[in-house]
Amino acid sequence: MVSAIQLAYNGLAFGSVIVLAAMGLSLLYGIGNFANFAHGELLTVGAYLTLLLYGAVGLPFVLAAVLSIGLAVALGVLIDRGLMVHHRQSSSLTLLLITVGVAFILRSLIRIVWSSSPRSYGLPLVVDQQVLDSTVTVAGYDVVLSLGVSGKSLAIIAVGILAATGVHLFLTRTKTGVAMRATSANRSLSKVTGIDTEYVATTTWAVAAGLAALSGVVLAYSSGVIYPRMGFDVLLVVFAAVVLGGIGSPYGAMVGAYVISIAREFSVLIPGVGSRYKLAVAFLVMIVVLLFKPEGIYGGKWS
Amino acid sequence: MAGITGPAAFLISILTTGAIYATLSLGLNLQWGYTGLFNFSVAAFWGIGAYTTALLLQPDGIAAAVLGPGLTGGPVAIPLAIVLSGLISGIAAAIVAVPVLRLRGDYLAIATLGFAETIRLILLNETWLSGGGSGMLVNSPLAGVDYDGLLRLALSTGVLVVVYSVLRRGIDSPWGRVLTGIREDEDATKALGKDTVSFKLQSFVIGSAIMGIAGTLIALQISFLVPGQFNPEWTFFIWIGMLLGGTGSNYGALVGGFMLVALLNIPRYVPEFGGVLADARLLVMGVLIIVMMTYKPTGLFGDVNLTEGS
Amino acid sequence: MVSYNSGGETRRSYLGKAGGAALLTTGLAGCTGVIGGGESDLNTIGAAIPQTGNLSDFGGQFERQAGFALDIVNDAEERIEFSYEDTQTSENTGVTAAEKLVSQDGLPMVFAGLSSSVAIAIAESVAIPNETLMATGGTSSAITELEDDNWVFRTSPPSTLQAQALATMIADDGNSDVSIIYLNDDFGTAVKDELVASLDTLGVNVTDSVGYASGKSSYSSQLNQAASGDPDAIAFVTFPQGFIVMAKEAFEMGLKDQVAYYGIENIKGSDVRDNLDAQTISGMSGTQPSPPTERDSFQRFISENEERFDRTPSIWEAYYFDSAMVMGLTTVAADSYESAALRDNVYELSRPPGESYTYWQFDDAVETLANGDPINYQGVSGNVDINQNGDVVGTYRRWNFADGEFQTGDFVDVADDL
Repeated sequence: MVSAIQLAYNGLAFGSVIVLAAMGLSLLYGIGNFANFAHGELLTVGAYLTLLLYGAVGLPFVLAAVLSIGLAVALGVLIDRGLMVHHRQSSSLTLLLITVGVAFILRSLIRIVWSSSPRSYGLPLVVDQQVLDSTVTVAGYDVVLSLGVSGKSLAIIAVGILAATGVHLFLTRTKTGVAMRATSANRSLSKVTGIDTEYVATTTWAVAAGLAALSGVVLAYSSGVIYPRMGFDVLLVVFAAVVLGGIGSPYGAMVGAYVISIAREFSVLIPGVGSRYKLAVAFLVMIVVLLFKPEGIYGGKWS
Repeated sequence: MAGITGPAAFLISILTTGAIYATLSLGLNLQWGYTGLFNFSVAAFWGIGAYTTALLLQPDGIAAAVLGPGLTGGPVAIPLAIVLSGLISGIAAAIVAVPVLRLRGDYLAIATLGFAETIRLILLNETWLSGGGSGMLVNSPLAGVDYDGLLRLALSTGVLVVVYSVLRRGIDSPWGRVLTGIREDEDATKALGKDTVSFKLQSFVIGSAIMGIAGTLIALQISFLVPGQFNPEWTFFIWIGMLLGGTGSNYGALVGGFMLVALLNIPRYVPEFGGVLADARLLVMGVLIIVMMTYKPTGLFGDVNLTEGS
Repeated sequence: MVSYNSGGETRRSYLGKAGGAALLTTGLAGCTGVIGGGESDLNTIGAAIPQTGNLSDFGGQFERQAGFALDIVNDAEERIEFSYEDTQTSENTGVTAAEKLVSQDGLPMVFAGLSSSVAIAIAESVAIPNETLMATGGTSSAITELEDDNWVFRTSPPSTLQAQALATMIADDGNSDVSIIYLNDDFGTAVKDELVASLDTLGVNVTDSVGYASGKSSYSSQLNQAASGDPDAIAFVTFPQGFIVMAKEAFEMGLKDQVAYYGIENIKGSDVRDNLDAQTISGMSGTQPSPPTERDSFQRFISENEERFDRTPSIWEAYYFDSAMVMGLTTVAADSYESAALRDNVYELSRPPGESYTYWQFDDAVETLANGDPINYQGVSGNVDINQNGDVVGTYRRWNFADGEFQTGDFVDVADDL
């Protein structure tokens, strides 16, 4: 018997991986007006750089992760100043396709350097502790109340929440953050009012890349395996979360990430569907929400 | 078994594949190039068409039982497969279109991508229908026939020509003009009293039906289907091909299909440098897309200027 | 909003660009024959293998062993070379790759496909219609059943046989209830089907068969489902990447203590050992297709490989090596380098009657053939006696994981009623 509480908890943990990637993606979407198909690769880069610094170079894990996030930020800046800057006026489809090109380049470079064999960090195992373990009978039905948590999953959930809080503070308390919100709301107007939109664009890439890299590290930590396609494999769920929440709103992304992740977990309860259609369920949820709110939950507007 | 051999045979095979990609490209161009719909589920409709054909041609399948082996085994099976695949893909498109077409551009892209993945999962998991991961053999009526490569080329080219002519006719008609009107400015078109939703639906369904027909062609070409054949990567490839050939133009889309097959196969002629070659090919494709979109975003024969922000 | 780009002139000026040039090049190359071929006296064997894609690692292994075999075959006299095309582990691309080798380059013999679905697609679309001799690394039982007029053969045994060995082992170990987690592709499904059938015959109850797709970061639902029927053991028909995630998760979920683990050959290897904490899989056992390790030919193959390539070859590399050797021998045995002649010779030289020769006795074998006498090639992976269906029989051993290492155990006597 499957415990609904466990499913919700698992959804919360996976949601943290997604929220990190989704916030950045949504920001890029809102400010740059394009879908960043290279976002998955940024996750993968973050995971591999950490592998390099921790495994090969031998730095302590957290330091390796922080440094690789820094390197990913640099990469994001490079992509923006080196390539995207020439396309500020291009259509969203052009930009989308350019990011596909960037994704191809990043993925092939990773494969060339590390090959396709799976890797892992080799961090110590953390076993789940049963926090709840009972079965209750409600109205004649057996309800399983079981929950296993581990330091690992709690840490992952904490990282997600901290990052979301950090993003919120950044967007509301810092000058750059406020400028980003203004640009997202109305690009031409914000230029007129003296906001350095170039600076905003580059910063958005930096923030998005950094968050994506963090997401990659968390994903690798959570699943235990690192391989070149890992970022792309979650990209669709991230997109679904962003769309659900409303493109351009990081708050929407936060909500979307957790809603989709939890819904995904619950799909195993549907008879005949089981776990094989998890991804399809994620999209179904997204479509249902869009039917009622065609602009997503937050409709692209920020609070 | 007689047939054309040698380099000519390879060329025939390549041209057939090119014709198939060109057909897909034309369908996509109707949806995006003319109506402005971001359809990222090209591979799904392609797959639906392909599997429909395979199911029709199964010697001991439902279709054979209902329609008789004469229809499902003989040469008549081919046009029947084409019609059926187009029909089923079109119906699937109609079903998907209902919730999805009213969405704004970017949202439509993601929604169609989700639909495509769902189809792929169904093909993968519903073994009773599709053979699942083990794949499904296509019982082609052309197998063992002399000059079957040439026949397939003739078939694919024939289909391509028909589709192209029909689309050409369609675009020049009042119907076509409404479509381009929707791409240019949907609100204005609506203001003129046109039911834009209905037109978008028609464009989406017809484009997807065309992709389904391309599915019949690929099923006959590769003889063995697995769901992995219809990954999202293929949707991207067809998009790239179409854009390379030229945006918003039927001729451009057609050329684009052939350019795609050339692009995917040119590296075969480049001297190998070990296993790195194929990764390097992905690298090259990535650079190529970026260069293309930066310097010539309208493609070879395109009308639509993509550099204008939208 | 979109706008129009007017001016036909600008379009034409781009005709010289990549697109047009590409089409032209393909056309020319296609019509006039391949660049860089046909000038040497060497007979060329085509090889359509995954140099990229899921099975790219195995593709690399093939190239390595083919190179090794080439050196032996060409030692006394330059006889053959390989021409490679990438299948990208995809049917569509694989068929095109094979087409290039067979139709365009006109090669009468190819090695095609490591993945069964790619192999079948190539066999059906290219090899059989063009009457080309094809060796393959695909392990699906569907290949046995191909109506191929003997055009298709292989030196790696069908994967289904491994399932029988695994079932025997599971039954012999005293398990009465077992569940299976398998990769939902052609390989995994075929092995799972055979495993279920064999377990059934042996009286072991299969409580659940759960499929999974690769590329997920968590398989808790599969694990939960597999454990739900309270089995004694779980059989993992998986590839390393997915298994790494599962084993770790199962351990964290506390599942490891409740069931015994069994696995197929794919799991046994450095990919799994290096990426998992030993605790997560200690005590696990499985089967592997095993060469007759006590035989000289295999010992020597291993040591020569270690010397040459500085790594221990996998069992698959033994199969690939034997494929390449068999193909090389066939070019010598046949009186002409044509598909029909090659086909007529390949089966005979792999099995009795004939004097037995191992790979390092290649030159002696050539001499015998020159005298018009039959030979029986003894491979490194086994006798390599290719039967009517183009298959070889496999032998299997048990492996165990203990003390942080994979250890090879005894041969498994596949149950008679299977």
